[in-house]
Amino acid sequence: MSQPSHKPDLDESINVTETHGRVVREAAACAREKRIADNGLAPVSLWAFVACGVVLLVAGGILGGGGRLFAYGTMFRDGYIRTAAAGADEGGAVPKEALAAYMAKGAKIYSSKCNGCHGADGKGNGSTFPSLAGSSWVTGETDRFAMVILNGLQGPISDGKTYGVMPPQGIGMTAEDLAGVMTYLRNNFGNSVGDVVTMEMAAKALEISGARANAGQMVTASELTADHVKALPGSPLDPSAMVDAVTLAPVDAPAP
Amino acid sequence: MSFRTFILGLSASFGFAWLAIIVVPYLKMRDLEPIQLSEALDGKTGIFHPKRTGRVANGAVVYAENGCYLCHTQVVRPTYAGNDLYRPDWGGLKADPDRGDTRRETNAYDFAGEKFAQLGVSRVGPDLSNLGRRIETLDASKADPSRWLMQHLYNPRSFPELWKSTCPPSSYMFTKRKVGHAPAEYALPLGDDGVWEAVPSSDAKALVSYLLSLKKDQAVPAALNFSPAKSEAAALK
Repeated sequence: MSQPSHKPDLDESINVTETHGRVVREAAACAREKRIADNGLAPVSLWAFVACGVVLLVAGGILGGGGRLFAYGTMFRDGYIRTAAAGADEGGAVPKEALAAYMAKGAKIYSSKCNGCHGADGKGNGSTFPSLAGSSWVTGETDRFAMVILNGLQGPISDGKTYGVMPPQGIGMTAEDLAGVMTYLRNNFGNSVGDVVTMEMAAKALEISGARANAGQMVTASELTADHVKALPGSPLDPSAMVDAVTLAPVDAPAP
Repeated sequence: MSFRTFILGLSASFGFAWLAIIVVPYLKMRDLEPIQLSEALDGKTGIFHPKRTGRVANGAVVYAENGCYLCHTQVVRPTYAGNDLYRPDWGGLKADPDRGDTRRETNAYDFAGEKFAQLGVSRVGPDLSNLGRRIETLDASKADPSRWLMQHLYNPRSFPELWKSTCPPSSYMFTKRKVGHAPAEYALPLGDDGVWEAVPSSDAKALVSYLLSLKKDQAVPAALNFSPAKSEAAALK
């Protein structure tokens, strides 16, 4: 019968040799770790932190210089003006010969405003819609022609026949539209007057139309014969002069 | 480090980035203040609202599903950020027959009608901001622009000029079948004998419609117009 021991170190369950060995190994490991820390190979040292900080400062400066950080509400930098294209890459409409440019404008107007009645070939239908091809009012004096387009027409036309009523087309028509469609009709569908009704002339036509005695009513053959058998005032434009294809303004560029 | 610390750290590091580049921009850009047009500066009144036609919403979904945005961008940057504007026909047409120079920067209003602004990830392929305009105007010889796009979806390298294209074919959007008594609408003939055809799925049609609607070169209000001509006009006043 054994007595409970008062000295646990000497307890039979402890292997003194093994315990001693473990303590020695751990002490050696601690010493090794200390040496590593002492010789400057600590995992992260202060200079690395400082270097990273410098990089962050520079990066922040670059980002900040590019605009306001996180300025998602604005799409463009304040005071941004587009820089021009390098070299000869300047944009803009390619200059075109005046006749071609005016006719291109006019073709669009024709297809939206006139096509429905006068037809894609400009020949009308012979009963309600007269032919524009060969019409002396189309190819003749520009003032008379402009009044018909702007104000509409009732009663007999240039060949003496009475067709349906032509509704006024002047509402919302700009000088550019009128000049284009007049030039187009005078040089298309077999008509070949060969001149350009310029925007200046068309602007005059709009003025004349607004100043008519019975403004707002359709013109009749008698009114046309009385007041409008004349060419629209304005300096003529050489049909082969180069103009801006979009604005129709003359350009000085030499013909290509 | 405890598991709890790890999870918290992970959430914080990803969460901050998510807040900064997803949540904050979304909150700021989702309800853009409409730009009022003024009669004096813009020549018309109302609000600036770029209009688009086509199956924009459906097509945008197909565009996203198929990862088109991985190679194709839809953003033309201001000139201080890159030369996108003057790359051939990226920002618009240099000489539009009707409107002259229509090149301009992309703005946030261009993405109206789409759930996501498909800005894109990388520029492996060309920018598509004005693809619809480009195809219709420059490739006028290609009589039907949608047919050209269908062919391009089916096999991008089938065009001699695009033999080096790295664009992956989307032929899975087409069903190969024998021609019935007449070729199906939009179907691509396979071979010259007219026996087989590739019939585009609804997805392919929606995508083509969406691509043709990409015309981000409308006139912009004065507040978004950065052309040098405008600054010259301002300097003269």
